Amino acid sequence: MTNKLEFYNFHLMPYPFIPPGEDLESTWVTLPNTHFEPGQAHKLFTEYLEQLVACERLGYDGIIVNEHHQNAFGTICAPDVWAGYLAAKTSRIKIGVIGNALPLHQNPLRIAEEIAMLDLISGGRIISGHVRGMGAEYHSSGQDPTTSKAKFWEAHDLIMKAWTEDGPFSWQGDHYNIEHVNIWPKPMQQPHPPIWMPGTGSTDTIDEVAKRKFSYMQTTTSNWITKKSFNTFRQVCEEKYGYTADLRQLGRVVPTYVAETDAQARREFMPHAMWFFRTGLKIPMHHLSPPGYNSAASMLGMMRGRAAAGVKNFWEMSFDELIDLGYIICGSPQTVVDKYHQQVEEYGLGMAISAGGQLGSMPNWMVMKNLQIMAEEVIPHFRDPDGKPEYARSERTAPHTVTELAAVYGRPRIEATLRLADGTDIPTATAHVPEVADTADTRPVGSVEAAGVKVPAPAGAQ
Amino acid sequence: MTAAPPAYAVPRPERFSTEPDVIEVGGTTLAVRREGSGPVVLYLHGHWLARRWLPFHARLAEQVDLVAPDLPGFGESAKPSWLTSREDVVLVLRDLVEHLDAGPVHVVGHGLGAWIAADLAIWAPAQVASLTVLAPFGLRVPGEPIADIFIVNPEQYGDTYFGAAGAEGFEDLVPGTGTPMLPGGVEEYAQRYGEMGAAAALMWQRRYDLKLETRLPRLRRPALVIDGAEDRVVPAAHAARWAELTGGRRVTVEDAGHAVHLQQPERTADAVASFVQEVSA
Repeated sequence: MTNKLEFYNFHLMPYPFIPPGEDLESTWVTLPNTHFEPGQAHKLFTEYLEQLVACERLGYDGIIVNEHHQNAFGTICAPDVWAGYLAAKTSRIKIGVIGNALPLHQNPLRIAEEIAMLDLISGGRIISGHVRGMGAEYHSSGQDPTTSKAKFWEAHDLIMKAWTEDGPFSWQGDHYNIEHVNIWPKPMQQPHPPIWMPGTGSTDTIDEVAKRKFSYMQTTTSNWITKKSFNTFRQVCEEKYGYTADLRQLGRVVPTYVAETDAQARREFMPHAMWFFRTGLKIPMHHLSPPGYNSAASMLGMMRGRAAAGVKNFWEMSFDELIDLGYIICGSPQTVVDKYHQQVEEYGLGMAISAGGQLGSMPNWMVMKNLQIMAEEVIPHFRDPDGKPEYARSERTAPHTVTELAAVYGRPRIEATLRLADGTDIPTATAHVPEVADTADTRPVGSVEAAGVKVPAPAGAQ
Repeated sequence: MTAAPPAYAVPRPERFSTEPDVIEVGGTTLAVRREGSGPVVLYLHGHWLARRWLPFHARLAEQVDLVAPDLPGFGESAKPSWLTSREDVVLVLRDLVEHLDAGPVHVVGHGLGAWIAADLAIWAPAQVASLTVLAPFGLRVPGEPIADIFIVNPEQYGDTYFGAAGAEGFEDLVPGTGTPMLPGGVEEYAQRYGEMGAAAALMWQRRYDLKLETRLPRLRRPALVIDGAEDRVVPAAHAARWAELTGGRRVTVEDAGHAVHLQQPERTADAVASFVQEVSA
């Protein structure tokens, strides 16, 4: 059995208590952090975490966090920390970190280690997203935008190798030189956690993701661009790489709000969606695209493409335009079901990301209402008759109970061992029995004391 | 089906555009403009104003033999894949000076170009007769940081670069990526974006070189420091420190900001020319 569509709640963790976008140069980089009130943030963040945790019982396929820095749009600067919390509060739902911004970090192995650790403590539930980081984040980090693309791919290759090949090995790259790569731990999922990469529709990105058979996540764009990207993806898989794209390789971020009726949904969603696009996404080009982040040729192509397609800036669209162009989905359960059906059938959508949940300045009660109606009246339409998320039809990568773990994995290949003074090895697991512990000679093997040699006291000692 | 890299043609600016000589030095293609006679002056543009023969150039060329290359990655000068740092630009410039075959040259630069000019003097002293820096980047002066040229809001270009006089009359000489609405449209916009990227590759990661503090005093070449009295990109303390470190004279040009050579082309060019004539006499 295969569900028609997977549903993910993608949280950005916005901090909406700032002036309107019209009064700001930008919601990024230069927005003074004097607007940030820790007391408000504590309440917000706690609610945000509860919203994500609730998704497990609601029956979502996965919950997602991401990395952004120094802005009010999305304040998850340390997504692996959030994922750690979520791993502890849930037991089956998939947890996506979409993604870690690889070139923003000095040592890519730190990311390989953190994801592996998360995968272990979550029992193998992590999806690892690898991203370059927004252009704005190069202004905020001191990292070099002109080398970021090359560093991204090198860091990605290094992480994949660290996960999948035995260490130690040496890495002598153009950007990273680590003579001893030997990460402890390795991930639970073998050979590695699923990899997702987001894109806005650039052919280069689509090609790289298709080549590696990873999942492609279309970020917030119009229906027209999404359809075009998905077509390109399938075509590249088929014609260039000789395989048919899996349904789960195509995801789309499409913020969704469902309520009792179309009119009610629009009323409730409007102010918060507008905050998201008008204020949260207020990023002028001199923040969004630092020099060197793209080439002149690709910048020219992008500008011409946007002009030809009549693409507007996020903050220039009305609520109606956002709905009509497909940037967001909003309506009664039937309307939302119909729109998703259309995207499954016409675009080949396999994963709906931001499908319900929090957006912009939405208060907690409204988020919970959105999630509840999604779970009761939308998601089941895309599930097999049992209504289960896909993960519930198979065992978790790591079984949940000690008895199962003991039955499946047994004892480790090597027991922890203590070597006694006479050279005998005893397993520490049973060494505490009186027969061993009471007579154990714990002096180092081969030491002068153990060999029975009397060591004279140093001269002058009393 | 891979997307072939889009065909990209370097646009010609509307004003002050002249046909460069495209030459090859040490395997690198350089667009070079040259005019005048007398002592050879090598002028290095900063993060903007490549591809042009400005009134400043013209005035200077009345008094010296002026050679003005587009730096690698700017204008029609190629950027070899191995060129990733200022030191690599110095290598190309050493080849260029050798190609000129005129002995040591007088090196002049503006902003980032001044920093590279100093690097050239440090690493190829035998090729450099004197050093002139205009509104130079490169030093760290505590409490007086140089403005972040990579994030200036296009609406602030006038104030930031031209001071009180504003940018009137210089709308096409955009000191950053700007917007596609400026003269030249998306083509100029993309070109400026690419050239700002070429500048970023040379100075994004560290906007200063602490080694200049120990290297400049060891130059032992005549030096001149020129700054605009209203420079809001490079604080005045920088020009003062350059003069101290190089032992050079400082000339501050009134009624000019960072765009000192645009706003006061005659006075700036004349200051350079008389210094060059003085030290080459």
